Amino acid sequence: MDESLNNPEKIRSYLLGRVTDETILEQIEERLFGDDEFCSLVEIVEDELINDFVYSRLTGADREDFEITLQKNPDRAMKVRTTRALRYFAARNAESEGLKPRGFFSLFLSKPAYLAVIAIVAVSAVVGVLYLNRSGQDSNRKRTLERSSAESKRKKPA
Amino acid sequence: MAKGAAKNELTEEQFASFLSWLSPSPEFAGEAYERLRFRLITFFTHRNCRFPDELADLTINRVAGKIGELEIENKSAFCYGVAKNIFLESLRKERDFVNVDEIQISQPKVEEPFDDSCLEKCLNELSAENRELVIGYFSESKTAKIKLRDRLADNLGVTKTNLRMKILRIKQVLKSCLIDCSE
Repeated sequence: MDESLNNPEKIRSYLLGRVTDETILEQIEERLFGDDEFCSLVEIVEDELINDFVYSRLTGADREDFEITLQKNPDRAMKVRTTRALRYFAARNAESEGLKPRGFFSLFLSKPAYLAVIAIVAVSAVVGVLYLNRSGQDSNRKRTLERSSAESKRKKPA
Repeated sequence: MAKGAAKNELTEEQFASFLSWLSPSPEFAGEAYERLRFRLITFFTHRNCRFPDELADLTINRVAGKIGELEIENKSAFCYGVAKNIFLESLRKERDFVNVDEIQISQPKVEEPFDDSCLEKCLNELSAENRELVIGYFSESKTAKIKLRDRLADNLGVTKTNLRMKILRIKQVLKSCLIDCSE
């Protein structure tokens, strides 16, 4: 078995219609039909090509060759349409729900560790506020006591 | 599941028995069918056939017609053999009937967007988990995408390759639904 066929670049080249050597073509086809893992790899590489095409990351000769395969392969063209529809739907959805500005918070909320940190900070803040409040009340009471004892001292000589 | 031309040529019973031949478990038969169709379409596309999807369905029809007659050990290899025969037949037919200068290749309909109501209907047919996953997968900006995919894979407890396969299968289901809805 030719392991070099597992190279994604080689598969990409096949999917762009650039493999013309009959021996290599047959090797790829035999693996495609006979090896489920290889078939998955081909599916993934095709999906990457589709995503790259939809997000305009495919340029020059790659884009031209991919477009030629779309003319021959209506199934792939349909996958492109589906991916494009998903891309626009997701973008619209993100806009309408204001997902983009919340990206930072959603990142925080997605990890339990981050949630724990947020909880600790919140509890500490509450405890801190209560403590400060209480110590403030204590010092007020102290000051009132001092004031009243000073007044009583002042009154004593009379 | 979009059955393509196979749906038209085969009776419902024949199609059902072909699916159970592909996989005795109904849960995996649909996936096995889609995978076989992918293999066949890829094969015919890169053999420069003009109608790879039609030839793929022709292969499926022919294989479905043989499953009762023959003892087939290696299903994929058998399908590959039938596909190669159909490819050779298609070459002969093209040579006999087609003037290559007259071939008009239709432009792909990739620019034509799907109807919004179809897309929403098909997305709503997905499970809530799959819907959120696929929308999340496509919602981030380019720069955030890699981090997002790492995070999605982490959250699901799967590798990035498994996540890609999961997204790919969801897209496959969506594609079939969108085809049915647009017809």
